[in-house]
Amino acid sequence: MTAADMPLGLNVIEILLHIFNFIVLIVGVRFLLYKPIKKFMEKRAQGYAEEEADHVKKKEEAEKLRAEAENKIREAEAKALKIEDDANANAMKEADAIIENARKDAKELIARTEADMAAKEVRERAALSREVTSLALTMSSKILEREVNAEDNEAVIAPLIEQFRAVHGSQSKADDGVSVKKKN
Amino acid sequence: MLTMLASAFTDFFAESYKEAFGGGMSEAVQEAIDPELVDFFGLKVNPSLYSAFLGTAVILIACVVIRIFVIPKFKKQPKGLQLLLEGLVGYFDKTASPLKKQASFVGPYIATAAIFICLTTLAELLGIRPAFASINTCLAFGLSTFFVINYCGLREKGLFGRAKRYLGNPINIITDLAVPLSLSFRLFGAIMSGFIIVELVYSVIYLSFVVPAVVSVITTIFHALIQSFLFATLSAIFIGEAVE
Repeated sequence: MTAADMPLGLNVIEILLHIFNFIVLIVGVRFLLYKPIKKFMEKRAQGYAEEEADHVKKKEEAEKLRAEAENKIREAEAKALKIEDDANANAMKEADAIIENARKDAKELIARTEADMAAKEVRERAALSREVTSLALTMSSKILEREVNAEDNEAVIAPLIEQFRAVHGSQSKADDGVSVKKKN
Repeated sequence: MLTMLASAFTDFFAESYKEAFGGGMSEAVQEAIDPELVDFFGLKVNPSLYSAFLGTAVILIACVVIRIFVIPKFKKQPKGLQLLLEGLVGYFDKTASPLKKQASFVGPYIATAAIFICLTTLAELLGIRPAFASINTCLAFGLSTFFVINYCGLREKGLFGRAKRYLGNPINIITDLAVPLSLSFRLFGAIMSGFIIVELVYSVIYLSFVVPAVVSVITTIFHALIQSFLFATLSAIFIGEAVE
């Protein structure tokens, strides 16, 4: 049966030629068009994927750095707080020490002043005693209207002085008792 | 009985057409269905073979030009021709992606088939006989898909796995044998009918104005796009069934 005799013009050789033609076309399209375009698209997709991965990595690093920075800030704040507390404590200690020293100095000053005052009082008492003695002598000379010698003077004055001392001594002792009480 | 009825109907239709529009119909249909055979190295072949060769040559030249001048200038953000090419490759790659190992082979296969069917059918607009207006071309494509289905099935499942499909349910033999016929005849019927309609319209002188502009769009462009899409999708589905 020839090709013309076959129904609808069926022809096996023609079919094989079409298949051969199709195979050539598939190979050509695959290697000239399909593969290069697909390769380009895959490369681009890979590039995007890499960029995305890089972006994620950088974001993670940034997050990590931020966390570290926040930690450092927190630590610095805690340190600053501790330094402030320490400084306050030290200042309080120093203030206490200064106050203590001042109290001590004041006490010493008071003690010294009281000692000075006591010495001055003793000196003044001695001077007063001498003055009283001199005054008594002058008065008694006037009364007696005569010159007395040293022995007479001593004989007359000595009992007076003793009497005065006795009277004045008891009074000063009483004064000393009052001042000691005041000190305490 | 049925044959007689069909014959009577056809004769009645032909007579009516002849009375209405003149005597062009039978010659035009005869020329479309059974064209004058042409010589191919001493072999008498359907002129659709030359259309197929021409289509292949045009596509391959376009591929070479694109490979040399367009692809090296591809940019990260596609537009224009790059967008169209990437869209095509992306679509067929996605369609073939469920086939896993076979995807690298099936993707280019269905892409080539779709491009070839679309372009050779659209060639009708230039007055070139469509390559698929011959049952030989359609059978060649149907058989190619049949080979690809079995090749992928054997590669994925092995001889035993493939045989199990037929031993378990012998109806699968008929199902699988029907695939190339179904693909071929669908393609042939669609393209041939469109071609015949256009030839009929052109065969009548007072239908040759304005009407072809509408009829060509419906029969040629729609058929070109729909049949290429159908062939690619169905091939992918059948191959997917074989490797599942």
